[in-house]
This record gives sequence, structure tokens and C-alpha cells, in this order.
Amino acid sequence: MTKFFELARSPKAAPWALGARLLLGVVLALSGFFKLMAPAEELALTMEGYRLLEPGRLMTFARVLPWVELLVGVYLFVGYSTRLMSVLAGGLFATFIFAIVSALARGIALADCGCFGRGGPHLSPPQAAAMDVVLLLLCAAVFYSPQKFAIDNWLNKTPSPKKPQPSK
Amino acid sequence: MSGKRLGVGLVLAVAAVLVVLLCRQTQWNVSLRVPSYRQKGNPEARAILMEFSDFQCPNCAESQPTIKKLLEGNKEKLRIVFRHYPLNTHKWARLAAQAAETAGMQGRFWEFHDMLFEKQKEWSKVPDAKPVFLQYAAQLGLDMDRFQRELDSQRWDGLVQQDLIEGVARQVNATPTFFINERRVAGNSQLQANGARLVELALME
Repeated sequence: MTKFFELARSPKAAPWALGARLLLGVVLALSGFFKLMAPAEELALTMEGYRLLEPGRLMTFARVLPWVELLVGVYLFVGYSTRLMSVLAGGLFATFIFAIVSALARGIALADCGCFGRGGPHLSPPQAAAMDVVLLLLCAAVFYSPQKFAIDNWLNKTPSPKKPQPSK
Repeated sequence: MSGKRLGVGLVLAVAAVLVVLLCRQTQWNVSLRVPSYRQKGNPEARAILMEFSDFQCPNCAESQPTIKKLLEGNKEKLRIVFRHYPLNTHKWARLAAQAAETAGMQGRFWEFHDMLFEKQKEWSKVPDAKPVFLQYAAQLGLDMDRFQRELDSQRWDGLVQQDLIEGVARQVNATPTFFINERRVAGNSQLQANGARLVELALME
């Protein structure tokens, strides 16, 4: 694991880190987007299948989650507050993994993970869990790696101090 | 956080939200033309509960007592409208819908509908459901020659297809999906939790 972080931090990892960040951004943004294109009630119905949340909270969650995914995805894609967004994204994926594994452990038959709402690819729960594990690792890589072509780089540039004029 | 950073974050968020709002479909061209034999309750009622349902769907069967309870609690104020939405994953759902329409043409839609849901476990797993549906029709005292002829020729499948097209237009992706005066409710749990409240809201409109 230490080797993984060492590799992630090295300058050679920069192109891979960029790829990881863009991939994470696209996956999350699309996941949120597809969910937002469908009625929230449908997502609530899918989430009900996991039997993790109280029924009263399902609609709130179904309305909020897609927006969080979309915004975190967009911010990651453009490299805005990258480290914070990679932590949030990691939190989301960890939650999804927990939900799927918990459902499978309780013997709940899930036909579709509901990951991308109805518009995107339909993954079986084990496929979705495997994908989320990989994405979680990518979040860690993005967190530790220096980022190229990120808005953060432009935002973090401090103006260079003016050279003192020699006195006459 | 600097003003510049906050500003950039806000611009990105607003842009993302605008894209979603522009792409989202919120209005549907829908029709309320449904055969009268598929409607129950007061035809003048202001509150309409429209159900998109699949006869082979277990969740749809579970929701029948909830619908019955809503109707009993709101007599004269509520109209129930049934729309077919047979899913491709259910082998006999389309045939069941056609059979229910065929029974409807002889004025026994709701009796056939109730029978299909009550005996769902019996016919869902059989190798051929048609003989079972013919049996149900016979038990209801229908004109069997006519029933069999019309079922064999899928004479009323067009009405089922019409409902399917409407369901797709309304973004129905799961069954049962209900619309209480156009407010969506997906699944029996949501109907149990919100049905009565939404009927009240509909009556106040």
C-alpha cells in the first residue's frame, strides 16, 4: 500500500493521475446526470430495495444524491478543489460499496444496482461493487498525486512580487 | 476560500444545474382516454389515481389492498384508472393484459383483474398461461367462444400498446407507478406512505 502512495506522489504519475481524475469526474457526473433525468421517485424505489434507509428519508436522499454526484463529478473533471472532491467522491464510493455488500450479505436480491439510474449502463450488484472499489482506489490516487490541467493550478497561482526598483 | 475560488465554484455549479434543467423533461403529452370499463369510483371525482401496472409483477399485486383502502376511505371523491404496463421481463404479462382487455369487452374487467392478481403465483410460473386464463374466463361466465377467438387473435392488444406508449412518455420505468392527479408515486411503499396525503391535496385543487 505504501508503494501505491509513493507511486501516486511521484511526478511520473502525473499523466495517470490526470486520467484518473477525468475518469472519476465523468463517471460521477454521468451517474448524477442520468439519475436527474429520471423521476426522483424511481430512484427512491431502487434505493428502497437496499433496505438501508427508513422509508421517510428515501425521497430526500433520492432528490439530493444525484446533485451531489453531478457537482462532485464536474468539480473533479475540471480539477476544482481536487483533493476535497476526491475525498467526497471516495466517501460516495465507500457508501455505495457498503450498501451493495450489505444487501448481498443479507440475501437481498437486487436486480439492478441503480448506479446510473435508468439511462445508463445496467450493472449487476457484484459488478457495481467491483467498479466502485476500483474508483475508490482512483480517488486515493487523485488525492495524493500532483494534478496537471486543473483549475486549482490557476487558482493557486499567487501573483509574483514586483522587483524592487534600484534607487537613483 | 478566496473570492475568486468561490466565484469559479459557483459558476461551475450554476452551469451544471442549468444543463440539467434544460435537458430535463417535465411536461408530457399525455392522454386521459381510457376505456370506461377500466375506471372505478366516481366518474366525476376530482381526485384521480392512475395506476400503470403489470399483472405478473408481485409489487403490483401487493399494492392492490392499498388501492382498495384508498378507494374505501375516499368514496365518491376518488376515481381509479387502470393502465397496462406489462414488462418484457415477465413472460405472461402481455398475454394477461390482453386477456383482461378481452374480459373488459364483456364487462368483466375488474373481476378478471382481481383474479389475475389473487392467483398471480399460480399462473406466473406455468409453461403456458393461456389455458389458465381461459379457465378464469369460464369461471366468470364469459362468452367463451368470443373470449377465445379475441384472445387468440390478440384483438385488443392495440389498447395495451396504447398504454405502454403513454407509460414510456410519462417515464414510467417500474411497476406499479401511480399518478395521483399527475403527482408520481412509485411502488407500494410510497403509495402507502403518501397516497392518502396526495389524494387530499388533489381534492383541494
